Amino acid sequence: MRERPRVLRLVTALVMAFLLLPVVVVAVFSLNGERSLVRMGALDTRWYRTLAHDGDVLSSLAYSLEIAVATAVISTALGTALAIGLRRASRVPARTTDAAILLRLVAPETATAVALLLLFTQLSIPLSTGTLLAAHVALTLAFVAVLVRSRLANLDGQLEEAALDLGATPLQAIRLVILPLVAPAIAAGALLSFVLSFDNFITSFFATGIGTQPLPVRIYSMLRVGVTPEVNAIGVLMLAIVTLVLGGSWAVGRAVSKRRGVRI
Amino acid sequence: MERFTRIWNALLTPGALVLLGLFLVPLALVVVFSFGTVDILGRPVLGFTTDNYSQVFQSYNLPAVWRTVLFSLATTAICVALAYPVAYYCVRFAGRLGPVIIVAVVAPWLVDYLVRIYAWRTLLSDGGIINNLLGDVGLGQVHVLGTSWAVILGLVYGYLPLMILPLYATLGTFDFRLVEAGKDLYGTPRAVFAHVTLPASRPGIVGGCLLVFLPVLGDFATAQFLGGPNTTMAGNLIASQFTEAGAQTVGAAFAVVLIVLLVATLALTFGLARRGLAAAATAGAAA
Amino acid sequence: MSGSPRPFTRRTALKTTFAAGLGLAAGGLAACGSSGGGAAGAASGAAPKVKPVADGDLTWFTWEGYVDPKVVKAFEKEHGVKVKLTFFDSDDLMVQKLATGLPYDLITTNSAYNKRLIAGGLVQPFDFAQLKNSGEIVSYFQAPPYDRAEHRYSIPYGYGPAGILYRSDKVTSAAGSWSDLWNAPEAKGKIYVIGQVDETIGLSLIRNGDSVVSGDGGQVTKAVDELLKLKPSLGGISADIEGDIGGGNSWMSHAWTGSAFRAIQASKQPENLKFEFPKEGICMGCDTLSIGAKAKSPGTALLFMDWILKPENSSKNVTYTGYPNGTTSGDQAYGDLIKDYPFLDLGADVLANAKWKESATGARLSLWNQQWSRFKA
Repeated sequence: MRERPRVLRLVTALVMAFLLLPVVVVAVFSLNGERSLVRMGALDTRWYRTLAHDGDVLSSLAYSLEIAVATAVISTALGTALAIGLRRASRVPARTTDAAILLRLVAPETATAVALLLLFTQLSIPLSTGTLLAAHVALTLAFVAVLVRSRLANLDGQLEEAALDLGATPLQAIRLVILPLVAPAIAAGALLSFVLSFDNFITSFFATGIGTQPLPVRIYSMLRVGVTPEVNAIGVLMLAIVTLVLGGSWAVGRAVSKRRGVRI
Repeated sequence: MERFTRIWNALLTPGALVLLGLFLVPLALVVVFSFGTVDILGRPVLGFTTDNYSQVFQSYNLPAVWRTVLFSLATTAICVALAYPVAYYCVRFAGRLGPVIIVAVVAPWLVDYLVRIYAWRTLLSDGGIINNLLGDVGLGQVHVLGTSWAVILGLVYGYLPLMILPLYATLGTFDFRLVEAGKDLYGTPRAVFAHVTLPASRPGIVGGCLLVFLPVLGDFATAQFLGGPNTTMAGNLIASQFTEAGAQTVGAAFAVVLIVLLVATLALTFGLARRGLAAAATAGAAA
Repeated sequence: MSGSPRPFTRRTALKTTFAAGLGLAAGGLAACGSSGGGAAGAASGAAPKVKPVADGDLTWFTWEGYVDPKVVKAFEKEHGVKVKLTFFDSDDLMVQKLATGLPYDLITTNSAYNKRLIAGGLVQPFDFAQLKNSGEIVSYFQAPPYDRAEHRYSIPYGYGPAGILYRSDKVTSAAGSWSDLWNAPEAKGKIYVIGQVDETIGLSLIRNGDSVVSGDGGQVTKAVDELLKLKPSLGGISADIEGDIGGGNSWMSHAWTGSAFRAIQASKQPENLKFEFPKEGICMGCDTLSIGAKAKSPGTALLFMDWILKPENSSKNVTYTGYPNGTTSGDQAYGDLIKDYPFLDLGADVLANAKWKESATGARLSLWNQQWSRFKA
């Protein structure tokens, strides 16, 4: 069995190289002295400087962050409530919601994005931050629900029964028993919503309206009409930001678990 | 828990309403308008015509649909082949490095999707990094950009993490002592893998396959930036009805057909799975 | 209890009944929604009242990289307003988003789409006489076919019709005709056409001697048949001309003048890049500036139009974007810009042979849509 690790290790290393290669290219070309995205010139930080002065792109970045945070908050709240309620709700609403969640997960994003555009067109709702946020929440809600639900499924159903028998109201049972136990899934759902929203392109492409555009849509406009390595600088910046967010939340998770003495 | 049903229903409601209003109703609209026409501004108008569907089912669209299915299958298969070793290694042999590798797997996602695809253009262009390298070393040139292989590569690249994560999660719950025990029963490592490890990791494989196969069917940006004249995918067919001189109603018809295809695929998967389980059960009972 | 897998068949049945109910609801929704047509589009006798005064910040729906930021900043400073740009990358998507009711003040429309926008009530007319610098506009654009006679809905902003950009070191068969795309076996697999319906079907129609706005099934089918003959030699159908040429993927690209200009400038060997306007004629379109029908600051929009027509701003903008804009100073600036590349000159002879494009509606849309899908699939 000593040989297995060597081959596996090689394969793993190759796959990792494959996955990280474009990221390296993005990072390297973000420092391209030349305007090209194909030919590398001398190293130069000019694109970061351009980015720092590109108020438009920076507003798009801020906008994407705001939407992502708002999406994460709303989606996590609704999705968690959905998953908890789904466990014991009446049959018909539960079954149909279940079906809707499944359909949501498998429906191709192009189709659902286009559907939303149709809805807004039909209702003459001008596309705005509100519609974009609604679109993002609708997209990520199902993922949160699935994550929390699978964690809930592993829980012993007797726990809430016991709490309710002991005189707790359902809300107390949820708050004191269920939520702490599904906290990791809720956290995972929140992070996933954040990343899905921040990185979202297809839905945002069809649902963005007046004013600032989210960053991925902005990048698409830039890519279509004439690219410069500034997009690479943006890519590196996005990587840095999300790494910070994820790293920060991991550190917070560790600190909280250490304080509680519980492994999360 | 049916004593507090109203509370559970109440918890369910906000999320369910969002799904209803922002997902199910729009989809229903898509179905309704797939039978409509467009006004002078391209806005869909209620009607009943099958023109949109007759355009969808034109013979020249068939290659694109077929190609999309093939690309999805190829991408899924390649993803399984690449993801399994990585997940296995991370769970069993990598020790503390395991989670680090997994984080590194997810890291590319944090760079914008389009920027990553464009990085592949930098790498794969005829005058790009890889070809320049090959040229310098005297190994000739490879023309990849614009071919189906470039698109499949881009798709694998984009969705591989979605295969690695579920496999990692499933293998993480697998007790590897069973492998040791299996050695006594089955002898060769290959047999152990086939009879012990593989079946146990099936939920992860199925989950990963669904997470990859289904979204790939709807992807359009990869084919747009890495593909060529002969790599149009179903997602492009839908999107171009909105971004090029098309009609939203035709786009709606395409979307409906695509979703029906997907639901059919799911039904088939679950149907086969159940039949497979039933067959295994009867075989087990007979044995 | 959740967790146990539910049978799929029951789920499907529930979904179907639910969907049917939704269908009814959606049908009701669809019926109440705004139907086609839109508000009164064509202005009647009454003169438009918008005056070029700053009446609020400006929101501008336009193409990325299509205006000199310095010109914008100077406008902001001069008139004490902010200018907010939002971008689109497809005229068709622009129309659809506008149709949802977005209240942009200024919109970069396109000559091919103006008829539809006007008929659909998405842009508002203004009094041409209010523009102090309207005299800057050259005669070719003073009364263009894509705008109304009694009231104007647009000023020209930029045009750069498509021709053929090619590597003269790789392609030796260029003869100043659209057929060059078909007759370049030395560039097989390295030929690109633009991924826009009206441009590409247009070029094939011109090559066949037909109208670029043909609604004739036979003519359009023949045009696409020819394109399908070209398809095996194509390396791609795209709009990133700079990237395709710069990345070495293309040796011959169907390209707009502005993209060709940028590609030549970015090239390490510009002497190897040549451009031609085919003699059969070119598809003409002009990006224009219009005021949105729901504009919150129409006065500022009109003011900006006047600003961009001012000679110094006009020449700055042309120098930045690389596209002439139909003004005297703009033409001069363009001439300076391309003095090393005379083949990019949009002289009178080229313009005389230019055929105006028009975005399709109704039966023609259906025809072109299907034929384009046939080509791209």
